[in-house]
Amino acid sequence: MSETTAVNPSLEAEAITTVERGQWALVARRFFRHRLAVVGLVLFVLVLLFAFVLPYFWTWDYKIHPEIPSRAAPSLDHPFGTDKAGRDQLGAVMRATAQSLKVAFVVALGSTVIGALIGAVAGYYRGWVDALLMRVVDVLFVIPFIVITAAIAGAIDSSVKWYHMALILMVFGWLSISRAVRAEVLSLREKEFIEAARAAGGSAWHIIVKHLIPNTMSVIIVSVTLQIAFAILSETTLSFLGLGIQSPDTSLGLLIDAAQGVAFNQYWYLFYIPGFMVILIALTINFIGDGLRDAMDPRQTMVRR
Amino acid sequence: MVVFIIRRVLVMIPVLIGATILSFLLVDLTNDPVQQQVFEIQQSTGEPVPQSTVDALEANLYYDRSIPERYWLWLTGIGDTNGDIGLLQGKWGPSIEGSATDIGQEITDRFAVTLRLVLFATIASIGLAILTGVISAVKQYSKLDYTLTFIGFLALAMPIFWLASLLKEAAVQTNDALGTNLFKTYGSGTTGFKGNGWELFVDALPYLIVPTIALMLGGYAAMSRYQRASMLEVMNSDYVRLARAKGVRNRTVMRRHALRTALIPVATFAPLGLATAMGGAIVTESIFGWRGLGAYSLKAIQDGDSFAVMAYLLISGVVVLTGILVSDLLYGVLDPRIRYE
Amino acid sequence: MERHHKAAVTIAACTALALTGCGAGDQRPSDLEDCEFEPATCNSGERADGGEITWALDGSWTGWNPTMASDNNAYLSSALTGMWPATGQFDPEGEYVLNEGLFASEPRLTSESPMTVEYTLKDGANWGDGHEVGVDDFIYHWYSISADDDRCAGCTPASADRGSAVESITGSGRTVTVTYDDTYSSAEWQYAEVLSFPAHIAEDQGFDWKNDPRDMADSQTWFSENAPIGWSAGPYTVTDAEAGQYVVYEPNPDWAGETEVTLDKLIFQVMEGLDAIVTEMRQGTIDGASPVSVDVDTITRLEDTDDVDYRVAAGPSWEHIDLNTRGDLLSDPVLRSAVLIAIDVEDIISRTASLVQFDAERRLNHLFRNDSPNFTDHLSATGQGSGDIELAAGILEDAGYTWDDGGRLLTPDGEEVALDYRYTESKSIRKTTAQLAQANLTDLGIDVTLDPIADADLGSVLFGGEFDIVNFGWSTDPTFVDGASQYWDSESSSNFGGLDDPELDAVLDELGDTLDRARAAELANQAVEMAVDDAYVLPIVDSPVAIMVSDRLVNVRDNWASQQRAMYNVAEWGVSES
Repeated sequence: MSETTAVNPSLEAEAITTVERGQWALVARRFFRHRLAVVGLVLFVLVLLFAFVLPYFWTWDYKIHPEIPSRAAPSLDHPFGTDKAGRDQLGAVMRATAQSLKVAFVVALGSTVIGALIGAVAGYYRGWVDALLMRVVDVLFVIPFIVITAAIAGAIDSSVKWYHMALILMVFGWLSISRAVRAEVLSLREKEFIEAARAAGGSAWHIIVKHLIPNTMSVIIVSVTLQIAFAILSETTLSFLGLGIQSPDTSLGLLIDAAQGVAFNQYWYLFYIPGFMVILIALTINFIGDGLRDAMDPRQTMVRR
Repeated sequence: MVVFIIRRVLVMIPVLIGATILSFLLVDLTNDPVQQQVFEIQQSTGEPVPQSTVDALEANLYYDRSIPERYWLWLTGIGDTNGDIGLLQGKWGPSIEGSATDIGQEITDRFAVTLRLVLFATIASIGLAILTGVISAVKQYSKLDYTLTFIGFLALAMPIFWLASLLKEAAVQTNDALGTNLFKTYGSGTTGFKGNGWELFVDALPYLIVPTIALMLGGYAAMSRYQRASMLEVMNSDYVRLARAKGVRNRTVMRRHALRTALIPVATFAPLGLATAMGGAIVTESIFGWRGLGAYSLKAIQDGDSFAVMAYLLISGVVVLTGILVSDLLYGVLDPRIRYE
Repeated sequence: MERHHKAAVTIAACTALALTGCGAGDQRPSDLEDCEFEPATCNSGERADGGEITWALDGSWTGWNPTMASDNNAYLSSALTGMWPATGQFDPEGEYVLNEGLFASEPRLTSESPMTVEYTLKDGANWGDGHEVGVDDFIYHWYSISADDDRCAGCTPASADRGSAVESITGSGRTVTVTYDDTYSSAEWQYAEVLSFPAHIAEDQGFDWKNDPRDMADSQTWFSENAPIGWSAGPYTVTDAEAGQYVVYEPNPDWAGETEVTLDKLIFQVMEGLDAIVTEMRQGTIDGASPVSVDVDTITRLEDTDDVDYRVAAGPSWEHIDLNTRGDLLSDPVLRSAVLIAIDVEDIISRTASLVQFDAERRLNHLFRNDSPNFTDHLSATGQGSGDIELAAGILEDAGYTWDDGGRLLTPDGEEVALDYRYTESKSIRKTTAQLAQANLTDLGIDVTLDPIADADLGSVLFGGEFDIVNFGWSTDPTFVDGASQYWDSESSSNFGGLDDPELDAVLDELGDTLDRARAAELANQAVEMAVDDAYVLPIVDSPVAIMVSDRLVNVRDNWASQQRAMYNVAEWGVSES
C-alpha cells in the first residue's frame, strides 16, 4: 500500500513521539467534524448513563418482586411496563444493558490487544513463528465457536455470569483480528520505512509496537468496533440458544429471548425495547469507529470533507 | 505453488488433531450423557432402569474407558470390542442416540442441507459486500454512501435471530396477503418428498429463500465495512493518485489498481465469512426448522454426544481450513509482493 | 384465555364482514371448549369418508424400538401409536380402555400367588401381513425386557421390573397365560404391556431368537434400525417413515378392531418448538399438534386464525420443589417444613401457570390429581406452600432458631442458613418459580443462591444429590403404585433427596404387595400423608399443555392420561363432514 508515512530514519524516537502527539490532536479535531460520529458518541454516552447511573435513581431493580403486578402496561410507575413474572422492565433493561456493555468492553479490549500483538508478531517474524502462531489460530478457528462456548458454559458450576461470557467470547474474538493485522503487516514489512527502521537498529519489539501496529490502526479500529458489535450480538445469540448469561442475572439477549412471543401482540414493547438497545449500541459504536477510522487515516486531507 | 499447497494440506492434519483433542476434552470433561439418558428413561417409563442396561449403555459408548483411551479409540479403533469405532478405519464411532443412528450417514445428509444454505448465503453476501463497499468508497460522503453505510450498519447491528424471526413473520404475512404458500417457513423441503435432482431443487427453492436472506444480511455488512475501508485506503495511496495524475482513465485505475489491491482484506475475510455463516447457520437452521449440520451439532454438544461432536468438528474444520488455504492462495494471486516459500 | 377471547374476535370480524358466511362454524355440535366437562367426548362429530391429516410432533426419536433404552421416549410412542400392539389406553377421564384390535376380553387374574394373568386374544387379531398374533409374540416381548443374558444377551431394556419377574408364558388356542415368580405382584397388573414386535418377522430376518440369546439381541437392534413398514397391529399401517422426521400412515385393512377408519392418510411430522408449530398452524401447513410446552404469548397468536381451535389444560407432568434431606441444614425436619411453608404456591401459580391456563389449580397430592376419585388433600392442613412467613418463623423459633441483627436466620448452633436452589434454566416457568421462592425464603431470613442447571445436566445433578432445593417435573398417568415407591422408597434410585423413613418404607412395601386396587389407593394416600409430614416434596401445579386443531378435524381431543396425548384415539380421527 502507500508509503506516505515514511519516517526519516535519522529522526530519533523522541522526534517521532512529538509527531504523534500532534497527530492525536489532529485526530480529535477531525473526529469532531464527523457529524455521524459525534451523534454516535453523544448517544453512546447517554446509553452509558442509562445503564450505569440511572439505576441509582430508579425505584426498581431487575428482579421479580411480589408487589409488582404482572404484565402491566407502560405507566409512570413502570415506564417500560412489567413482564409476566412481575419484573419492572425499565429496571431490567438498565441492568441488561449494563451487563451486555460490560461483556462487550472486556471482549473488545482484550481480544484486540491479544489479536493485534499476535498478528503483528506473526506477520513480522514470518517463518516458523508465523507458522506456529497461525496454526494455533487455526486450531481455535477450526473448533466451532459454539463448541467452545457450550463446553465452557457447561463447565461453569454456578450460573453463567457476565465475566464468564466475556472470557468465552474473548477466546474466540481475537482470531479474526490477528488474521487481519497479520495480513496488513505482511505487506507493510516489505515497505521501505520498516526496512529503514530495521537498518537504523530498531529492535523487533520497537518496530512492531511503534511502526507496524500504528500503521495498521485503521484495520484495528474497524476491528474494535466490529468486536463490540460482535460481542453484543453474540451474547444475544447465545442467550437465544440458551448458552448465555443465566438468570437470575439478566442481559439484553435474555430479555429479547423471554419476550419472543409478544413481538406481535399488545406487549410488543417488551420485545422491541431491548432489541432497540442492542441495535442502538451496535450502531453508535460503529458510527464512532467509522469516525475514528476516517480521522486517524493520516493520508486523508481535510479538504475532502 | 503445488509444493506450497501440499505442505499446507499436510499442516492441516496436526491442526485438526489439535482441534479434536481440545474439543474432545472440552466435551467429555463437562458431560455425563449416560446418566442423563438413564434419568430421562426413568422419567418416561416411571420405573428404574436395570443396572445391566446402564452398564451396557456405558460399554457400548466406551464410557467404561478413560478419556485418553476413548480418544485413542476414536482416532484409531485399535482395541475396540464392538467394531464400530476408529476414524482411520473409516468408522465414526457410536452415537448416544443408539445403534439406529449412524453418525457418518447423519453428518453427510445434513452437510448437504447446510451447504446449500451457507453457499447461497455466502456468495450472495460477498457479492453484495464488494458492490456496496466499492460504491461507498468511490462515492465517499455522498448521499448514496451514507445510505449504504447506514443500511450496512443496521444489518450489522441486528441480532441474527431477531432479524430471522421478523423475516419469518414477514414471510407469513406476505403468504397471508397473497393467499399463497410462496415462502415456506419450516424445513428444507417437503416432508418425504422423493424425486430426481432437478425436482428436489425445485421443491427446495421456496424453503430456501427466507433463510438465505436472513443468513446473508448477517454476513454481508461486516465484509462491506472491510471493503470500504480498504478501498479508501488504496484510493488515497500515492500510486493510485499518480496513476490518476498521469491521466489514466478513472475506471481503469479503479479496476487495474485500486480494486485489485483493495480485495486483499476481503479475500482474507471471505473464508472467515464462510465460517461465520456456518456458525450463523446454527441459529438460522433452528429458527426455520432445517435438519442441518448446525442444528445437529448444537444438539450433540448439549447432549454430550462426543463422537458426533467430533464428526461435526472434522467436517467444519476441513471446510474452514480449506477456506483459509484458498484465501492465502488468493493473496498470492492478488498481491504479487507476497511470495510463497 | 381460550375461547372467550376468540369468540369476541369472531363477532367483531362478523360485524365487519357483514354476514359473509360468518357464524356457520359456531353451529358445530361440539368443540374443544366442551373438554372441560366432557373430556372424553368433546370435539366429536360425523366423519366424512376419506381425508388427510398432518399432525405435528414437537420432538423427535432416534430409533424404532421403544423397549430399548436408547430409543425409548414419548415421541417414539406417539409416532408408533397408529400401529403399536398396546394392551390398552387410559382415556381422558382416566378410564382404562382395552385395545379392541387385540383382545377379546379383559385380562383375568387366575392366581394371586404366584401372580398369574390370562389374556384372551381376539379372533383374527393379526400383524397386518397374514400372521395371527400368538403366544410367541408374548414370549418375544418377554425376552426383550427380561434383562437376562440367557434370553437376550447384551440387551438394553428401558425397564425390566416386570419382564425379569416373568416365570413362564404358555398358550392354548386364543388364550395366553403369563405366570410371574413369587417375588412379584402389582395391583396394576392389568395395565402391563405384553406385546411389542412380531416374533415371526424376527424369524423371517433370520434371527433364531428363541434359542440363541445373541440372535435375540440382534433382532432387537434390527427392529431399532428398521422402520416398522409392512406390518401393523393397529388401525393404520406405515407406508413411509424416517426416524426423527416423519411417519406416513394409511389405513390397515386387516385390523381387527370395530372402529371404522375413515382417513386416507395420516402423517406425523416432527416440528420442534412451540413457535414453529403455531406459525405453521396459522399457515395451515399442519392440522394439529399437542406440544408439551405452552407459552401464553405464542399460543394466543392462534386467536387471529379463524379455522383453528385450541385449548390449554393441565397436562401429564407436575412441577414440584424438593428438599435434600441429606443436606447439613435440611436434615432438620423443622427447617424443611419452615422452608416449604414459606413458599407461596398460589402466588407462583398466578405468575406462571395461571397466565396461560385460566383454571390452573394448585396440586395438593403427589399421586392423585385433584379430580381423581382417590384424591385427598393432606397438604393444606400443614401450611406447606401457604407462604405464611409467621407460621414458618414460629416453628423455627420453637426449635431454637434465631435471627441476627440483619434479619438472617441462624440455626440453634448459630450457623447461618444458606441454601442452593437449582432449576433447569430452559423452562421459563421454573425461572420465575425460582425467583419467587427465593423472595419468599429471603423474607424468612434464608440466604438462597439461585443456581440454574443445563438441561443435559439435570440427571447428574439429581443422581448426585447436588442440590439443597431443586425444582423439576415428574410425568404421571392414572397409575400410582410404581410412582409411590419411585418417589419415596429409601432404596429407590429416583428418591433424589434421600428421604429415609422406615415407617413410610413399610407402607410402600405393603402397597407393592397388595393386589387390591382399592386397598392400594388407601395405602398410597397413607404414604402421601407420611411424605408430607416428612416435609420433603412440595407439589406446585400440573404443567399446562396445549392442544390445537384445525376446525375441520373431529374426534381429536387432548388426553393427559396417555403418553400419546391427543393421539390416543387415532382410529376415531376424521375430517368433518360439513
